[in-house]
Amino acid sequence: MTETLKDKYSRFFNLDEIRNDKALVWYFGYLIFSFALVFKGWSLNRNTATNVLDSSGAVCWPWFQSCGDWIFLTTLPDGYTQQYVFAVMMGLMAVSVFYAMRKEWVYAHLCLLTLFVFKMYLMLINFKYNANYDYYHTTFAFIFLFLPHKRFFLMFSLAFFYFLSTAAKIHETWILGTYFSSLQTGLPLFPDSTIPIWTHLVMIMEMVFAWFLFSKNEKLRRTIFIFFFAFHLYSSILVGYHYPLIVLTPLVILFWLQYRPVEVPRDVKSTFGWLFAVVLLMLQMVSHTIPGDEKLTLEGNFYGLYMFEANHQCISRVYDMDTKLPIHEQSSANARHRCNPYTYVKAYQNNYCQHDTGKKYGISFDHSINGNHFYRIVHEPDLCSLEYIPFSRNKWIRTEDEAKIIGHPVENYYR
Amino acid sequence: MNELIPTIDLVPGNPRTELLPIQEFLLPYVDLFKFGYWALFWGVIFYLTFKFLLIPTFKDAFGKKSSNKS
Repeated sequence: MTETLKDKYSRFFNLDEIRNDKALVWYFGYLIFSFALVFKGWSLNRNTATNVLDSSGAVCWPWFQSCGDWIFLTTLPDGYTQQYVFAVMMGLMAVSVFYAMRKEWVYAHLCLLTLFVFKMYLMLINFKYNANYDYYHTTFAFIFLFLPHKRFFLMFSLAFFYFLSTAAKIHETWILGTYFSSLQTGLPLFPDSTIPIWTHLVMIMEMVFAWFLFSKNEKLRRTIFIFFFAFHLYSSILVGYHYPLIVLTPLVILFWLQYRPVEVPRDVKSTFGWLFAVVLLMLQMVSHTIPGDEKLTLEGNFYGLYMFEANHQCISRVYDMDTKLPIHEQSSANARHRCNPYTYVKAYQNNYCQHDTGKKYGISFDHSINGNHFYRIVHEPDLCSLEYIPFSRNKWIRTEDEAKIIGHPVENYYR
Repeated sequence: MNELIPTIDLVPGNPRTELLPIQEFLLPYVDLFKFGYWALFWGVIFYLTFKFLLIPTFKDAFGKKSSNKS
């Protein structure tokens, strides 16, 4: 690459910010580490390879339901191309670190950018890569790679995500704490009678006090930092290591080890960062603009953050409409398994509707959230004719006011 | 009423879910809490936007002293 091209690249991506800020160098290390963490279980995943098209069929994002046309890699037993690409990505991680240590930030950035583009491709073709921690990681990587005022917007995104996550918590789930009281094992370490105290504390801390991570009052800032540090350690009892590592590491880098006060940017270049924040806010609001309880219908639930939004239990059945008898039944009592009627219907359509056999299939889908009644939210005689609209009401998914109550659940488990 | 609804025991042996006394107490106020939290949510957004973005930008535009150096 010529020096002129390198200069242009460097200016376009604001790489001087990384060169002049140790926190961003540390952050680069975090991103490489987190890409390794994210990609760890992905190379053998059949859902992003042509294997899925030959077996169950792809389940795509509701707004990109033709994603199967974009799947071309193969994995075992059909081939190795997906693993080849992941091997190259692993090499890029190493090359990226090599260039970063030589302070060749153009090449280090280019390697990271390639990892990011590949991750975006995989997330685009697989609806199952919609986890909250992927959303965090993608956002952090996007800000680091593309936006000016990197340090500020990386710090801002942490507090903003705490804040945005509360939009998913303004619900009985957290107001009453029924997510945890519906579990046989309750909330770890704390007695059941105190559950609503802790859920409200978390909501207030995330909605209001997360912003005090920017406070000029050092004692206050440190207290808030310690709260969130402890919160992530506590959360690992339930969620394991992955999610806390994705969020805790930037928190430690930006608000402890490499902390320094930052001014709120208001220049023209900062417009990109603020527009990005508005987009994140709008995505978080999608589910709230669709009538009905989005925790029950799951409509719009996956366009923003949705951690611990509801404790789910569900039963789905496919019927042979000639005999009116169920030919397939599936149930889940795993609180964290989001019982999304869209995912089930798409999977069943892939199984039963690909070839015209002249048969007609019906579907029922019963869903309970937070220990409340099971509602029959889907009860349709023609599975194959169902179409899903991504950003508005789907009339075949009934809301809590329209659906019939068919039973009451027992306490379940987190997984 | 609840007794008439069949129990669906996806985890056989576990008891039916019930509200705790503190949740029974809070139940009538759920909508009030929702309203309060949404008001707080949008209040925080508007407060931060005005205090740290719009008002300083307005002051800059009209020649008043601002602390922003970015």
